[in-house]
Amino acid sequence: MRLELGRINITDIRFGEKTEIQQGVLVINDAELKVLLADDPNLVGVDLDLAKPGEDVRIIPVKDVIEPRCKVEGPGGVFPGFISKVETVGSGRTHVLSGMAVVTTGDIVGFQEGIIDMSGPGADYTPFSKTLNLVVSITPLEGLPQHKHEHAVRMVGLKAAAYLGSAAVDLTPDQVEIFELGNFAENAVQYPTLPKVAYLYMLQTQGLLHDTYVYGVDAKKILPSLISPTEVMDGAIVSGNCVSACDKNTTYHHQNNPVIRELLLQHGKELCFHGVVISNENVTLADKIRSSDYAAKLVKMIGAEGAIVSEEGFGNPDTDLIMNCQKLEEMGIKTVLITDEYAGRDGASQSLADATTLADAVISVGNANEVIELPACKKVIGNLKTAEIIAGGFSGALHADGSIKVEIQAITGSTNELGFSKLRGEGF
Amino acid sequence: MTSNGKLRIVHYLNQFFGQIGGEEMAGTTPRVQPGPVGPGLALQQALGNSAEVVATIICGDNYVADNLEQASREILALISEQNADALVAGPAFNAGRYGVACGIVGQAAARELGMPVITGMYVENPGAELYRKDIYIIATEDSARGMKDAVGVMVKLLMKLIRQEKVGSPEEEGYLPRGIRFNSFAEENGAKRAVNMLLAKLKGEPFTTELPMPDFDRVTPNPPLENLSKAKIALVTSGGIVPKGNPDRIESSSASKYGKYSLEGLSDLTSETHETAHGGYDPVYANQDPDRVLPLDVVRDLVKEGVIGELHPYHYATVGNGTSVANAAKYGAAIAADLKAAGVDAVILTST
Amino acid sequence: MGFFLVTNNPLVGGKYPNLTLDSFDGSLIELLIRVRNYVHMGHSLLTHPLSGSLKPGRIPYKTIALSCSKNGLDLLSLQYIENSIEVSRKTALPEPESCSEETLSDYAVVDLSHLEAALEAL
Repeated sequence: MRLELGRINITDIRFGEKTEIQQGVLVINDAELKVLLADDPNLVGVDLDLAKPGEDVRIIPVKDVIEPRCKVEGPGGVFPGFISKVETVGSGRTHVLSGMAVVTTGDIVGFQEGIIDMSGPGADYTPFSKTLNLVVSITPLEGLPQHKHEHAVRMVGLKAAAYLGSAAVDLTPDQVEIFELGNFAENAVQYPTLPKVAYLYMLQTQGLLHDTYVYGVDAKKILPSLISPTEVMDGAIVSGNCVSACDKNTTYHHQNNPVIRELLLQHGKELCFHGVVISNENVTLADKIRSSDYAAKLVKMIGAEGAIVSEEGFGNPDTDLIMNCQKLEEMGIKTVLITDEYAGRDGASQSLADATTLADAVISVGNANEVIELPACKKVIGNLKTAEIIAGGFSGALHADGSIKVEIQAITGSTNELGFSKLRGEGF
Repeated sequence: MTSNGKLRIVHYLNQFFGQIGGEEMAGTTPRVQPGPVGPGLALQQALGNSAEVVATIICGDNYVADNLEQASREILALISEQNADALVAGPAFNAGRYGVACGIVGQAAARELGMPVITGMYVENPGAELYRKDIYIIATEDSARGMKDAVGVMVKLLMKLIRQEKVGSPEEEGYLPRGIRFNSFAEENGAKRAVNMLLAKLKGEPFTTELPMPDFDRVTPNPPLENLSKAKIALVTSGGIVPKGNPDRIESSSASKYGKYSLEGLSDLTSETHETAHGGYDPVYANQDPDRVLPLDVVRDLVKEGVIGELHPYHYATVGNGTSVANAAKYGAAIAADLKAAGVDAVILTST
Repeated sequence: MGFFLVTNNPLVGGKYPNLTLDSFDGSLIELLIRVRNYVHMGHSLLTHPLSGSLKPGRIPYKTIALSCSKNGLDLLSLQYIENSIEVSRKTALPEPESCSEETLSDYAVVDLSHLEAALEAL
């Protein structure tokens, strides 16, 4: 499959009369967009805000981050199963508003989380301090159940991203990235001497606030399956995960999966990229055993000699990660894991809830318990009170002057386990 | 600072390296000598002109081991009198009690006096396991033949600590990993690092994992006994239960031996007959009724009831407290050989 | 497979009156220790004792499914429950947090949702 991502560089965003892109500046008709987004019986209203790099702004609690896109050539549309009808994506051309993102907020539950600081020390820890953000906040109906609330916020974000993306349909991209991968029989013939590598892509799937969707299907209900890397890069995977901001994969992360990007980059040079297997992180032990058995078997079936495994979340999924590693290594498939750590605020505790000596090649994307002091910001979008109860925060975290002391777990994307960022945990 | 502008360094040594005497002088109480002593000369040489070993504090290993808190308080008082800029302890190589002494003195100086501290030990020294989280311990050889190298590495890191420079990784600086995790920003993102690591692993090239797994020493269990009522069972403990008076003088920590004791004619251990040698837990309940740690009474009952075939007429005891893994494994192997020779089928192994 | 639930989540009994429950009012750690006792008595864990990406030590409510049948000590279950107790202790706050009623009920709803995800598979 061959996918072209045509990137239109967005250099500024502002509200205005008509939604369009003029010389890289995205103008958003906020009135029109609000009407579109508020078309949901579960919502009372929708607010829109802008947050730009370097501004003295804090967004909290962030639910999801999404990159606006539109499909201009080839089958399918954006966010299949949600916005577009279900049809295989991953080929043809998709246009991307590059350098910007839709950020959704909303306290669906009392302990929700997710901080994006657009400047200051916290900004270094999140990739979304560098994007021009349209922040969407919703007011739900009084007493709206959490499931419906989560669904409403998820849909609002996807709709907003699709709406903005459509402004790029007729534009000429500033650059075009090409992602292409043949089937594994062709690959093996083409690159007989290169090591065959697969990617085992674990998706958080434990229930409310912890779900991930593939073509609209709740991934806890799947058996591990093969997916083309270009399908992932074309928006087939959508996040419904709102907990543990540091190591949840936002939809933006899925759309820009860095492991897939890197493997495609090295394909035909250092390695032969054989395919992607998606797997889940379920609640029951029988599911964990079944999924890891099945995923490892698929990796083996496609003939991979090496694999990268990325985790999402921590604690419970550590068990899935370790099972995947053990089974792959026991099949003779050389494995590298990507995970974050929960080594305590002093960094002295055991990092993972499970372990195996077979995990001899692990990338650590950082200790999520490390504490950071975030000074007060002039403007807060969302609800600062949330800092006290969010996953990485702790009681008393919010000081009278508006500054907060939190574990970096509270910062969106700080220890992303796809390896999106440069943070690293080291032993001393 | 000294009057000529040099940093003031205090050096801690045991009775042996402090040139007071051998094991017979291990009870020596803390004392101060001006200037460097013994290995202090090598230390002074490595320090060069920027710092001066102004005093050496010497204390017997047993004195520290037997009076941990009091000894460390006394030594701390002597250190603080010296108005020192930093403390160097040892290196202790593989000497267990000396290593623990260097550790406890170093920990106290760092904690109470806020002083840069450096020591050196062999990786298996029990002091290393106990104190590596609290102070920097340079990895040394297992004996004093490694003195010269060790002192050089120790001084290099000590100067960094004094100057409050950033301390590098254990590999760069030569200290034993403290098991403490810190974050930093790498040159490349995690995905790129993962692909590079995988390529190295696939090619068989060396690579370093970023998160070492905890060290398991897993033993596959033997198949279960087929018939307990025909089996010969032995009692073994690392909880220190020994005949009253501790005839073999098994140490209360970092045991250098194990003991083998007859159970002939005994059906119940009492405060009259047995006690614990262990210094790592509150001994009151074990001394009141040693069966609580070494369950002889119930095993005799079970033999009488026919549940267990017979009891091996000896029990084996050592003290797990601070005993190095390598030593513990050695004692275990020796005990196992003895048990096998005696036709023992299974062991009840109790700890504390 | 026959299973029963150990729970301190007040919502579970109300919603599933027909399931076999060991329902009690106690802390998370007490719950985990109760589950460990069952494991030592020979029951196997059917759901992972850590759930979700919430800090294990902060969660007030949890529901864990165990097998009704006893098949001797299941070492894997024991390993998971012991690890979970350790992780929960590690992530607990020095003093228990005072949650608002609303937050408590959110925790209960999330636990219920994780249980329901499991019930479909059990």
